[in-house]
Amino acid sequence: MKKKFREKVASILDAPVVAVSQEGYIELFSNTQAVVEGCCSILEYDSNIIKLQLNKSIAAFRGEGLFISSMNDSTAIIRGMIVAIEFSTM
Amino acid sequence: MFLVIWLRKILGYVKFSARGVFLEKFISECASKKIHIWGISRHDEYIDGFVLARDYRKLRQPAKKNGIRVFILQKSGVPFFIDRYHRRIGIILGCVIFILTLTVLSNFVWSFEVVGNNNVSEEEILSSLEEFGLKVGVFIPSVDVRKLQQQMLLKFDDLAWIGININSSVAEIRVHERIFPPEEVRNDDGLFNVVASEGGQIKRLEIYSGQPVVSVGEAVKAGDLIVSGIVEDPKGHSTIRHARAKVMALVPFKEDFSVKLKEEFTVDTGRVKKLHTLSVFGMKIPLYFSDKVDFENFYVEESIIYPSFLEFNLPMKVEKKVFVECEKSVREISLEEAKKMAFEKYSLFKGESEVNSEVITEEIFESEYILRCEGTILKDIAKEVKVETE
Repeated sequence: MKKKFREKVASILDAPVVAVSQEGYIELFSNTQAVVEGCCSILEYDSNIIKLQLNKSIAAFRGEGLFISSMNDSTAIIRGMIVAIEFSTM
Repeated sequence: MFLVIWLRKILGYVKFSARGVFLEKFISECASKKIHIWGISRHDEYIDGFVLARDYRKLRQPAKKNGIRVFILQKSGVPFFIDRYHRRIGIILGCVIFILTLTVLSNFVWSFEVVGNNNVSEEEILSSLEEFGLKVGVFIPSVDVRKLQQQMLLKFDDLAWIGININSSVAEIRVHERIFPPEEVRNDDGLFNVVASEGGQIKRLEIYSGQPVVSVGEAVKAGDLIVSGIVEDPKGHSTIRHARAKVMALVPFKEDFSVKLKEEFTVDTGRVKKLHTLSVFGMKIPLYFSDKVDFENFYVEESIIYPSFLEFNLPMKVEKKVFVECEKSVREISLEEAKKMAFEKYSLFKGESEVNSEVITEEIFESEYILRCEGTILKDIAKEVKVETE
C-alpha cells in the first residue's frame, strides 16, 4: 500500500501521523468511551450501533447502550459498552 | 468537565426532543453548522439531546430541511432563572441592597487582630490606636497608616516595629517588641555610697566596688556608712566610684502575726442577674428590659464577649454584667487552725532569710490569736545612696 504524501512527511520528520493526517482519529477509553475526531456525519444511530462517516471511511461502533454524549462539527464522543469497531470504505 | 458544566449553566441550555425519520441526518447537519449538541440519546422514533440556549433557534433550519419536529423538554441555567424572576422587583432590589451594603461596609474597619505582643497588652495597643483615630467603624481611606505607625512607635518605647495591615474590614496589628540590652554596670554615673538600711551586726562583707569603712563584727545603725564611693590609692589620690556591696548582718526583729478567731466572709447565695448590652457601630443597645437589681448585697462581674462566625470576628461586642448576690457570714476558726495560719504568715515574713535566734510567744487577745516573734535574722542591709557632688 502506497503511503500518502502527508504520512510520508510525518515519517520523515518523525512526527506523529495524527498531527498531519486528515483521516479520522479514534481514541478509546477502555470499552466505555470513544472519542472520534474527524467525523463528518452520522449514518446510523441506535443503542446497538452507531455508524459514523469519517473523512474517507466509515466506522461502525457495535455494542450495548451506545449513545453520543457530545458532538460538534468534527468530534463525537460515544459512550456505552463498545463491543466492536468495524471499518469500511465508502 | 466541571468548568464546562458551569459554563453551560451560566449560558443556559435546553433539553430538546426531535421526532422524525432522518434523525441521523439532522444531527450531522447540526454538527456541520457548528451547533454543539450533547447528551444525545436515541429512542424508538425520537432522540433527546441538549443544546445551548442561544443555539436552539439554529436547530430550526436543519429540522425543517429534514422534516423533523423539535420540542423543548426542559430549560435550565442562569438566563432562564433571571427571566423567571425578572418581574420580582423585591428579589432584585434585595440583591442590589445586599451588594451595596456589602460594598459600603467593606470600606470600614470592623475588627482588630493584634499579633506578636507579649509585654504590651492588646488593650493598651487598641486604646492607643483609638486615641490616634483607628477604631471600630472608621472609614478605611481616611486612615493614614504610616502616620499611625509613627505615632505608635513614639508612644511605646517597648515596640521596635509596628505594622498595620488593613485587609478588607479587619485591621491586623503586627508588633515586634524591643529587646533591651542588659543594664550596663557603670562606674562613671556619680558618687554612690553603701549605707545600712537598718541597724545590726555585720557578719559578712562582699565588696564589689568602693572602700569599706567598717569591718566584720562591728555594729551599725540605720543610715551608717558601710562602703564609701571615694577610693584612695596608695599615692593618696582619690577617685569617685559607684560603691557596690553585699552586707550580711544580724538584724533584730520583733513582729506580731495575728489571726482572728471569728472570720467574716461573704458567700454567694446562687442568685444572679445578668445584663447584656450589644455594642454595634458605636451604638449601645441594651438587651434587657430593666436594670433594677433586687439584691441588697452583691458584687459585679463584668466581661466582654466578641461574637464570631466561622473564625471571623463580627463587628460587634456584647458587654456582660453579672450581679451576684452574696451574704455575709461568720466562721469560727479553731485555735489549731489559727496557729497554723499565723505560722504560715511568719514563714512568709522570713522568706529565704536565715534566722539566727528566735523567741516565739503565743497570746489570745479579744478573740484574736497573736503569735509574737522576736529574734535576730541574717539579711542583706546594703543600700546604695547617691551623694550629690558639685
